[in-house]
Amino acid sequence: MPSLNDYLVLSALLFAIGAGGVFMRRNLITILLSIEIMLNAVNLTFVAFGRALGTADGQIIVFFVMTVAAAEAAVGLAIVIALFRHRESLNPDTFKALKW
Amino acid sequence: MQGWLSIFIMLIVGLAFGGIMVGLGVLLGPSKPSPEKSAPYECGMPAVGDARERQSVKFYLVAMIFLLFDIEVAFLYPWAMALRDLGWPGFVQVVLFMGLLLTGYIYVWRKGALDWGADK
Amino acid sequence: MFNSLSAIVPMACVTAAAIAAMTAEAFRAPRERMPIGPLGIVGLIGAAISTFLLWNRNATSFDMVVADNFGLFVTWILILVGILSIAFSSPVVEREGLPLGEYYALMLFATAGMILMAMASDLLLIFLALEVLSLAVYVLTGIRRDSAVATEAAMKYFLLGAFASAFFLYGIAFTWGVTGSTNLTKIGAAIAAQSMAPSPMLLFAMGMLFVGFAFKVSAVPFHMWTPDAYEGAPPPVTGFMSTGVKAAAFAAFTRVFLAAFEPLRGEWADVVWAVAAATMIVGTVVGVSQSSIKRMLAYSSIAHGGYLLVALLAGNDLGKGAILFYLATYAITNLGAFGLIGLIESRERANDQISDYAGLWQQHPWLAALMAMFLLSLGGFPPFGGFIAKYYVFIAAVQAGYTWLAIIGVLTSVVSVFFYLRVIVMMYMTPASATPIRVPSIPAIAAAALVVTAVIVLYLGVLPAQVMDWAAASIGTIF
Repeated sequence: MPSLNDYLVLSALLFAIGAGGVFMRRNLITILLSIEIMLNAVNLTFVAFGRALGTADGQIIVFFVMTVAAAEAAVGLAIVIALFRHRESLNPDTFKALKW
Repeated sequence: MQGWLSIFIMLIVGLAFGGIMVGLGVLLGPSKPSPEKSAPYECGMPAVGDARERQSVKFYLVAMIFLLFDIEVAFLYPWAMALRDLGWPGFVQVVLFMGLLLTGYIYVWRKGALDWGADK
Repeated sequence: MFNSLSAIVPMACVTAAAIAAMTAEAFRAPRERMPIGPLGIVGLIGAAISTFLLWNRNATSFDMVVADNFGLFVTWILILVGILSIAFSSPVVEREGLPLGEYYALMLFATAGMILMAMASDLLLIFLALEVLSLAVYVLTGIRRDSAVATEAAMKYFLLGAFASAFFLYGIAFTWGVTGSTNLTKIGAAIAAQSMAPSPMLLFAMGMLFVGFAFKVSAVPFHMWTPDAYEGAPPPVTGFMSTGVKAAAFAAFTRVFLAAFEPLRGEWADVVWAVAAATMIVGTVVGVSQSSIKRMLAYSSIAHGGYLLVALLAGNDLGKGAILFYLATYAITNLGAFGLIGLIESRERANDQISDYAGLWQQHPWLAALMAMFLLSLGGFPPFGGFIAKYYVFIAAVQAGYTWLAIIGVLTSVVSVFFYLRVIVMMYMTPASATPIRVPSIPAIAAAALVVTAVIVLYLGVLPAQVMDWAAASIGTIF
């Protein structure tokens, strides 16, 4: 039976993978996916803590996070499409109209 | 470790079964390749053009709208589970929630985001 | 259940107006003009009235939304920000051909999210409100879809914003896991009970929450998105997000750190000290070298975030009151400045370089005078609100023993005067270029908004006592 700590370590790893992906990947869609991985890592944390605390609250919170993630993904994809029309590329390095 | 043994056996059996079946096919089956047979799919029409074609942007739009409405409806499951405890106040809240979703749906519809035709 | 709904009436008004705007847009013919902006203003006025009626009542809804005076004070600021933004938007929306209903609906949804954030007393609700306002503002940033700069700005803002909100959420998860509640009061009680030896997990959670907030208030080192997003968005949107988002985020920041995490002050004070100092210094120093007026004001708004952090860190009664007073002054002044930039922009020319403002005084003496007034107030010159606000912040910092921080604040204020004055010198003392700015007739609603902003900036500077009293009365209700 895995303990709470195992779940927390796993979700921390997932979160780190997502955070690393945001910085290292060079495709906007992949970056969006990395952010989703981060959110899902948090979901795992919520469920694990909920289990440890003996409530179903964690799973209810996950519902909210999922909807937020979906809304975020929709807005993100919409911006990506709008951007692609201007740039014909999804590589963030080609976006140079603004200085970072 | 005890609990994992069965999974391990399952894994071995699965891999072995797949390997044996493919191996038997290679060994026993006659092999007469022809261009038609080498095509990705042996049935139906021969492939036209590249599979990495650009999708219409409408596709993404509908996909995004589907994603949103699909996920929002997930809220109905917990409500259905707690229907009796929540009673009428819960019902009113869910109706309000669905009403808001409906407004969004009407908006999307009126804006033509769901039109899937070349007539525009 | 239904009698406990009073606390959410203000945001319900705004949401209703937003939905009405959305529906109107759905049934609008392509070129039809509809009074959607005024509709939004009506909704906001409704919210303002309900906020007024809720004053001193401490209404609570669902154990999650508290309409205490602190939240109501911030709500007033936010409603004012919403009304003025809509007023300043009307000429810009017209000129750029932006989708009328979508623009105002998004602005109203964002305002509703901000109000919710200011009143939320539950971490999860703060997160949801944060997302509601952020998603609306991401889209508003990129609403000029034909402009590559605007879309790019929206993308950067979105990516970094979504990244930061994941951190914020991770912080909520750990706070909940350690304390067993997302309610701020209960979290505070749980932390106080174990304050002798705070668990590493709790410190980690606090750090994550801090990162999320620091991003939203654009504190250094999480400020990278600010200049880009501010430059790419249409000026009234920039005014809206540089003030509204900051006010809402600071309200929640104050609630979380001065109410729930107050027992751990010893752990976070040094970090906030460093971030506040870095924010003031970076915002000021980099601001000096900017040639675009929007980027310059973006760095100025970063620096102002630093002064607000000083007040937050001081955390004494004067400091808490100063946060509210500073937010009010900064919001009104900055909105006025960006509203004016929006009027000066034209379809053909962005007019957003400081050199474009050369000789504005000869062309449009009134606009130049108002701009000078807003800039002087931002720089903290005596007869205007900005001076009083900074004065309260620094006094609060000295009283709380943060003398060095106050000294850094005063020094950066002095340096910042340089870049505000640069624009004023440009407007008044430099001869106009060959093609001076020509502002077409200003719509009555935008002119009225300019006058109102100017009057408030002057009022806050000359007679600050009344507003400061309200601010002081507000903070008594939660802490």
